[in-house]
Amino acid sequence: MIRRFTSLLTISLIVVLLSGPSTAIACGPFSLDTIFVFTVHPEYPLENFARGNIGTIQPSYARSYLYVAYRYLNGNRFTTEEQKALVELWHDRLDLRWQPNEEPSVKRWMEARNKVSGTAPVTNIEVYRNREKPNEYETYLNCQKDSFETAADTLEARAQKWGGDSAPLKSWVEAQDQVFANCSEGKHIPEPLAPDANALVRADRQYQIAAANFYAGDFDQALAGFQQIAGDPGSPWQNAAPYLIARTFLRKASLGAEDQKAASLTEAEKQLNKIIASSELKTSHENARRLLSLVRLRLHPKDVVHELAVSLSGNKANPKLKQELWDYTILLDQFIGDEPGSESSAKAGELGNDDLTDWLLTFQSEKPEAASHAIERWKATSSVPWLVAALAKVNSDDPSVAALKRAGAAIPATSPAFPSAMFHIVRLNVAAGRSDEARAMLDELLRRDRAHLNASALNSLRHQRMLVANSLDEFLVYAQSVPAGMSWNDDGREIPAEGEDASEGLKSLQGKPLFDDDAAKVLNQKIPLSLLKQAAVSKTLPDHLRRDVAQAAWMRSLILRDEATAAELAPTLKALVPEMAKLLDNFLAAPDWQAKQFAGIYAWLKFPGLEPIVDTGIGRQTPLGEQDSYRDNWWCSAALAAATNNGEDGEKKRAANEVMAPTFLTRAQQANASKEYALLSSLGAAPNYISQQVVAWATRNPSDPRVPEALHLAVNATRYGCTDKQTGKWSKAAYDFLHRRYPNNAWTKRTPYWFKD
Amino acid sequence: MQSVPPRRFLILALLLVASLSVVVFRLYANNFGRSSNVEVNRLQPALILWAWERPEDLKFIDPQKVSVAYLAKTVFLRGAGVLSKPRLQPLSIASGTSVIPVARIELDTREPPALSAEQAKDAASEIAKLGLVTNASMVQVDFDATTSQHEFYRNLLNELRQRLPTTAKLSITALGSWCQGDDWLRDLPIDEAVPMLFRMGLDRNTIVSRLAGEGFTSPRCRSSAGISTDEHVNDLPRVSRLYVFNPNGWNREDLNKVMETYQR
Repeated sequence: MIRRFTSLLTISLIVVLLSGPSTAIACGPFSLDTIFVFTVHPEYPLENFARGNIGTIQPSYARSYLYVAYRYLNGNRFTTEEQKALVELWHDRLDLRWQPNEEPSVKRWMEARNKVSGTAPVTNIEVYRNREKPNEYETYLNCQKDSFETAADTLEARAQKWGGDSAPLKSWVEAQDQVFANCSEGKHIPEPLAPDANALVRADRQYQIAAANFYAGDFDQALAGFQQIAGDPGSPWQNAAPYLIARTFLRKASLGAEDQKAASLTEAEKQLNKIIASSELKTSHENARRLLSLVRLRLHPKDVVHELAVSLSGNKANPKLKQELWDYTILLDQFIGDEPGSESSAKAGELGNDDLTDWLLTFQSEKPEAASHAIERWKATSSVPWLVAALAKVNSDDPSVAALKRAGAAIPATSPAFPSAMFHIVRLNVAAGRSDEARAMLDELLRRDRAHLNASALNSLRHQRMLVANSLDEFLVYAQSVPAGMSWNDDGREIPAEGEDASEGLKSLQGKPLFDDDAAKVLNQKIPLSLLKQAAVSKTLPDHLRRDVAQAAWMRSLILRDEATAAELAPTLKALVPEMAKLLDNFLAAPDWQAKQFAGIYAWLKFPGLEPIVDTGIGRQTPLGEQDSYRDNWWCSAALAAATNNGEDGEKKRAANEVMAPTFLTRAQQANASKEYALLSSLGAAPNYISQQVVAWATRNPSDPRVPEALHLAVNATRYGCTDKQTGKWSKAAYDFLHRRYPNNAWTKRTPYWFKD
Repeated sequence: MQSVPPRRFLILALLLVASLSVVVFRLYANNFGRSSNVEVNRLQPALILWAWERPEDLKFIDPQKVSVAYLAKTVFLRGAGVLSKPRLQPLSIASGTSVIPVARIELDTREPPALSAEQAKDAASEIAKLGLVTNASMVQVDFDATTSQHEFYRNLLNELRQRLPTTAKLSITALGSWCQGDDWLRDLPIDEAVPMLFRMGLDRNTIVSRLAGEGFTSPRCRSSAGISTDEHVNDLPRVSRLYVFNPNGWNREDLNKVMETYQR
């Protein structure tokens, strides 16, 4: 039964026929990521964005968000109902938690139908059907929920009319079973009834036959059947038939022969226009209009994009907002791709003859000419969306920068454009080397206008402020930010993790400041040990971050053989990591540097979480003294960085890994930091370095009681740490030394293998 | 020459039969495992494009050189239930192309799955339907499993094996870490495990260095590999079968680049 249609049905049809798919292929293992600035969509709850708290808009946002931003930038608003529709659309798209909509209706039908006595019960109905075309692999939703709802309603009505145990009812149910048997496969057509059968029974059967042909994919037979019903004034299905004829043409266009698609769509359009023009078919008007939108979407996509853009840009409340925005963005995806910057497609040139589409494409464009176009449009329109686009695209050396900055600075703090405009003015100042100007502006913004900024916008500004820090202390203030969200992000959708997903350890970090990627890079690559030591004792950092900095600084001093710094930092580290106290005391008590260095290596073996760098975001979650089950032990990232920087993509990755040095750092400090980082990176996989050090110490001090254990732990590190091609050599060296020199030691017995790599 | 007493002869004969049985069984078992791998290695074409849930028009491929492994359904495990979502995006291929329907298993995070024996059976029944796809040389299952979930997936694959047609081969995608270490793949009823050599996270370096060395510990992981067009693998092992994922969807140019880069 295919009579009633809802907007959801239209949506589902569009989803089935047109929607942009998920392209992610899952891999792993996955860990919870911190997101400081959302880039795929705005931060949650999305209701805030729908309400106009749009923050700093990102070109990487999906187009449905940029449309909303465009409206707000233009001074337009959305009604409460419209905001609800927007949030629904976003969740429909983001939430891949699949829920088959038809299930309750199928269940309702089966329950009602199984109450009819004398018929074999039905326990399952498959609603999807393969296209059944050679060399095509696709499934489509063949029987939708309305089919089952209409069948259940009809069953109820006929049971009342004919009686629950009557022969005609039983026959009707059996025929209906045949209709639904077509949902998943084959062709099951109920037998026609004799001309002398009861008129209603016969009319129902005719309808069932047409519907069965429809689901079986025999569209010509279905059309003939529905056309006959449309001409039968005695049939209760007469008024529904014209609409079903249109649906059959549409289905034929979707699933029929390629060369008949355009003609079938044209027929569907003609038929739907006829229905809308007929006052007798008033009950079908709403559904016909919805279906006509879908038909026109496919028949005249360019026109529809333009019409939708005009409608979506209007000032009046739009009850069809969700559907129109859905269609509009899907059509744009079809024309120009669903990735930001994909506007290079030749088809993009055919669009953009309305302000909304032009703005969207320009704002997302990565081409250099996007800046000049945005400036030109801003000059022509003086509109805020084009001002924001121009500020976002322009380079600091463009002659229009001064005028753009002046116009941006005039935007009031209460405007939705404020965070974006401020961010880009600061960005342009920083890029032009106007650090003082940028600093003053940022301080003012962060002091006065915090209330107008969401977490992502705040973090974007704090990040800029970090780069123009005047001192180490200032840098440390802005290097720490509270993440805008946490996400498993295993598929790049930045979906915030549910509360129950987070472990207790993670929950304790929620709401606390952490280092973002660039802050960690600055600390690791741009700040020399002499300053890192100061950071480790600075009270500017909260304890959980100071602990990370202190361990990094101590490990760095150990590897760089900076005895004084290592000794100086040991008490700080002891206070922050009390579980290392004994090992650090041994380090301090060691008589000379070589003994100290071995004490340090021994401590490292016992605390696989130690590393000479600070972590980004949540970082390693396993306690410092325990082995991580995903091999994040003994400083994995150095080996990892070396591996990922190799190969043809290495140059690109190295460039992406670069970070600007904060302005307070002198050239000499930067040079020292570079030298130190290069030395650390050259060590390769940490287990190799550790094994080498242990074997060297063991050779010189074989009677040291810690040596057998250290050798055992070194071999263990070559298995559970990140390794490289040299690891086997060092694993074997430690193993051989242990077995040759201490054959009967308990640690030797616990070391039956060495590990190649 | 002393004759063997009848009772002793009987015992000796029994021992001999028993020993021979063990040898025969072992040979059979070894050959079974090996022949299965050998059969998979012989499956042609050995360059396989993964076609995920997005519209893909692969009519340009040469079926003599390229096969297609396409996401045919996603099986959601939610609470005690199993929901099956079929492929809803079009996929066209050249006539005569050998295909591998893939089932992706997703665990619900809001309503965590029971991971019961019953759920394993239900999921296996859903996936087994892919064994009936025309031109399918094998069925592939794509899933992520933590150590604690290994037992559930082992059950599921055993159930699936029983439900698939006897001629159907069974493949799984595997994290690199599964191919070394404790080797939980060893006794799975599969014909192939495809190590995914992309999006490897922290394991990347260990896996890359292992590839450059002697390859994976698990023999199951040595016949094939899965790579992505956006992550170059320098030391790709000499595998019989190469699966390639393209995050942007396939076109002729990307396919040619893959064939050139990896000498296929």
